[in-house]
Amino acid sequence: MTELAVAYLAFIGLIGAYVYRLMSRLADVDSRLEAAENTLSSNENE
Amino acid sequence: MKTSIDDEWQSRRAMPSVRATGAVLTALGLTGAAATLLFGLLWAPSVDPEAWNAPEAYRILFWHVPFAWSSFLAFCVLFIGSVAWYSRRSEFGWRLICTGSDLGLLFGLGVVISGPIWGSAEWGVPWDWGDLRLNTYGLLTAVAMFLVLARNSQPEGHDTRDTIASVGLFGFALVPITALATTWYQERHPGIIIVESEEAGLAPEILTVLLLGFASFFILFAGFALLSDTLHQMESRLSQLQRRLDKEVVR
Repeated sequence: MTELAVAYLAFIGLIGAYVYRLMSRLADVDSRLEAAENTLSSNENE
Repeated sequence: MKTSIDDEWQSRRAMPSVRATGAVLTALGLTGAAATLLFGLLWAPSVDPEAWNAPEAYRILFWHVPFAWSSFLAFCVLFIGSVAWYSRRSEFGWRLICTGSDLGLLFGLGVVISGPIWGSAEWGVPWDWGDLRLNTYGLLTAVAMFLVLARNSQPEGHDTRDTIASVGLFGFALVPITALATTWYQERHPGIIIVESEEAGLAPEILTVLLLGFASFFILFAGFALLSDTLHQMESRLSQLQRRLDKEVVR
């Protein structure tokens, strides 16, 4: 049972870390992209 | 010709639907993977203790095998991306390389970590250096790790992309060798478990859980691939906009 617990903890840890990293990067890039687009858009309007 | 920022917003409108589809597929895949784990632990019977040294540890295979097949899918994506980059310098091809290497590393690490845990219980040794499949698979995961590290550490440019794409092509050559090594040069690693389930003494319930695992991880892979591609697309657009902002500041 110890092997099972260790292996599945490793699997869940890997998937969890990947999902967390993916979602936080998506949120981060989304906000930076929006800021860049707003700046460029206001520059174009000027 | 200078493209208007509105044109870019126009093309960006398609992104939320792809992102939402990716999120739904990821949620479905994770649910299926959790169900596979529960069925594998609670419903699937034990294997024949005469045929297996560690009859309980075999339950690691319910995620180990779908992880391995998902990693092969990831390396196929990497190969298609490498060919697309070389043949047409396609931005889509580069994004496939990024997605393929990320997912190849994720699923490859899962296999390389869980395999030795099962090997220790079943074979008494975590790794057999004489088994071709274990060694080529280890090398394949190392290639994925190199690609991810190289992408994150090297300066962005065509030279870097060429190098990474060539390593990606080399990595894919290991996929058929690794997959067929089970049949051709089998030492310790078991055969293709779905095909040889009767010979391995696996009950039909075990096969059902394995098939559920395959379907779930396939859906999870598709969700991850869509989300990862969306992310790389957004990062690429962000770089373009930042370059344009820099030019405007200089002017």
